[in-house]
Amino acid sequence: MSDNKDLMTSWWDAQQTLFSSWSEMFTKTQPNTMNDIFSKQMEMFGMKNWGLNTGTANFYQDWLAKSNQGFQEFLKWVPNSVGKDTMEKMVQAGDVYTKLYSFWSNMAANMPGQGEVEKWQDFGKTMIQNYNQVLDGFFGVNLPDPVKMMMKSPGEVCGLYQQTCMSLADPWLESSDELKELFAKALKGDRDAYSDFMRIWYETYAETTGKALNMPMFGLSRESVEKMMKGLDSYIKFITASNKFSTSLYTVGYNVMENLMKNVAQMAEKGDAPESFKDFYKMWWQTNEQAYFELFQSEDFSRMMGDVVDAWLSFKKQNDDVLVEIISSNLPIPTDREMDSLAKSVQQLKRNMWEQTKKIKELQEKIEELTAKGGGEL
Amino acid sequence: MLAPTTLNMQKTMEEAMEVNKKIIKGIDTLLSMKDVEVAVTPKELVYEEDKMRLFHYLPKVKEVSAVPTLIVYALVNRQYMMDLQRDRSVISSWLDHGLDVYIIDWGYPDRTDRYLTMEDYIDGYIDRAVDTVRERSGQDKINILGVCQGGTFSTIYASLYPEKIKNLVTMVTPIDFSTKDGLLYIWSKHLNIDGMVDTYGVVPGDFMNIGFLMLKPFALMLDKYMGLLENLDNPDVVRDFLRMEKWIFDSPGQAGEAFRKFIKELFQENRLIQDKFELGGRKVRLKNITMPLLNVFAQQDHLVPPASSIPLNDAVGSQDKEMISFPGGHIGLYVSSKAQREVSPAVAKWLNDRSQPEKGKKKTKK
Repeated sequence: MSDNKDLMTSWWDAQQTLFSSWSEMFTKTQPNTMNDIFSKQMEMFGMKNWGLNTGTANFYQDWLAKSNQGFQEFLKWVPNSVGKDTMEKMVQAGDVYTKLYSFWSNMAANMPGQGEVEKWQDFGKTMIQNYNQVLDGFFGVNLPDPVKMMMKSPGEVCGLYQQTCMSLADPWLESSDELKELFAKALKGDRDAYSDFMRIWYETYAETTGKALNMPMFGLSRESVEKMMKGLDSYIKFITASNKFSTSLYTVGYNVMENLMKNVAQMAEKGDAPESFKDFYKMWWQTNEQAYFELFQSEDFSRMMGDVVDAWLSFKKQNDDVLVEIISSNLPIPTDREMDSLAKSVQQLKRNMWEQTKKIKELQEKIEELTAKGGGEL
Repeated sequence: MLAPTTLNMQKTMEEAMEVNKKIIKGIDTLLSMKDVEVAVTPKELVYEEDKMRLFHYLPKVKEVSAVPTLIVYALVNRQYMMDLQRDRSVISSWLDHGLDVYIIDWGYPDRTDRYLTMEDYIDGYIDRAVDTVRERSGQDKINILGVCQGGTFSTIYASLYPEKIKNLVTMVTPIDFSTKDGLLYIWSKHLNIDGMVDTYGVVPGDFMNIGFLMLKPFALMLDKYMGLLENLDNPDVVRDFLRMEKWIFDSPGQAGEAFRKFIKELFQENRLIQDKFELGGRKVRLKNITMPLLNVFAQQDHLVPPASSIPLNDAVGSQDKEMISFPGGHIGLYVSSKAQREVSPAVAKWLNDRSQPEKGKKKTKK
């Protein structure tokens, strides 16, 4: 609604709001519109006949909300005065009351049954969020603004803290069931399950702890701490990459062995099986060599090997950074970085020297040539 | 469900007992062995610069070729593989055929060498080695024989300094890096060479070793040693094995900047065969190579597949060009008895036939 209205228009709008809530009430109190869920929940907890009939409960909530809304609209055109302030505070209180009622009736309507453990966990989470909204409204009522802010801020901070903690913990909680299942399968020898376990573990790590390890640090030892954290992160990345690499190697090995035993059995049926272990060994290593050659030729393997090398290089670099930090600050010896700087200069000086030597030699040859042509001594 | 094997238990037990006996005798052999000798062919140091050393092999025959041959070996391994043992030495064989042989020993780069570039190696070390050999021999042009990566360097050098090269020989040399026949060519495409060089400075030799071992993991990390077990009681076989073992794991570090350019511009971008490679600001055009070319490759080379070496012959401007295809592997080309009988004499003959001194030039032996 626009704020530029006269008294009559505003009053009319407020009345319309009230009338619409009444008409909804009549609709909801009609027979055959019973709130089955609500009444069943009440029955389960022995809360029959609380005096809240199905349609009436919702009507009351709506009437409260609409009345409040109507008063708020009405107050917009009332001149500023102690009367207006008081009425505003009364309306705000009414708003809190409405929110509390809404919270309570929502809670009652959605309360899980006995034994539904998971639903209780979600229920608790939702209720805390909703109750926070009620408290937000309560702490905003009838208090000076600085005090309101002082009382609200800790709640906001608490909420933010909870949110941040949950953003670190949530991915692990979400994937915990899957990880447990895959780990159990991996222990029984399921290689695919192991690969999936490592992949999901790493993805979850990258979303949570990985981000924390790469956070910028503060303070005097900022750089050192950052290097150590990044070093740890790079180590985990390397372990993950090399696990994936090793798994691919083991998978081929296991498959080869299985196929080999089947082949040997088939050969045995034909009377062609290897008679000695030496013969079997020869067949075994040649079959493996061929199988691994096929694996090594694939682009996927090549890429994976590149990833492992990259991860190793990254880890080594981070590790070297930490070591250089320790050496340069604690030991009276030059580091490789310092020696590199020297080596670069020396190499450039050598090049310059050889270039000059070459030019001198060319000049000498030219002089000799000119002298030989009869130029005499220069 | 795995099916049972039908091993002949008696035969298996006999084999096991035999191996046990060999191990026991072998321990005796190993305990009585001192360090193995390699690179026994006599040579003299004629030039050195930083870690690079230029050696001249002492001639074994009276009639020595007028035009000397400079061997440029790869950076990734040690050059003494060509002179591994008395009876398996291509160097010795070439000396027997009258070649005047020089060889570059690149040494072991350390951290101070991390800023060495390909320009430093080719325009610097190789060029000065060539000049030294030219001065010593009194020849304006000499032969250059490049092995593996050394062959790539020699090819680039011959393209930039054709006036100094009489004949070019490349052995198991990678030129075209677009092939997918070798695992190194596939893996290098996904190698973060910048990360590697920036982290290590000088890329460790162990890194190269791991890569080479992974090309044939079962053959090189298992069956090779099982084969040794079979012959552990034979000191000569053990000694030969230990020489090869010493060489295989004697991998120098790779100077960072040179390695970066080699991997990036050759392995990954394949610039050389496309005439897009530059060295020291100059374009390297393979058509500039007009001197005689002998290109030797190994048919079962898993390190440098034939598809990487063969294209050189079509890319150069030489009229006199040949290929020798050897039925063996990358290392077999130098150490196998078949290669000793067939390849090294063929290379020597090819060089001797084209190593007449220029008119008016006398060979002044120093």
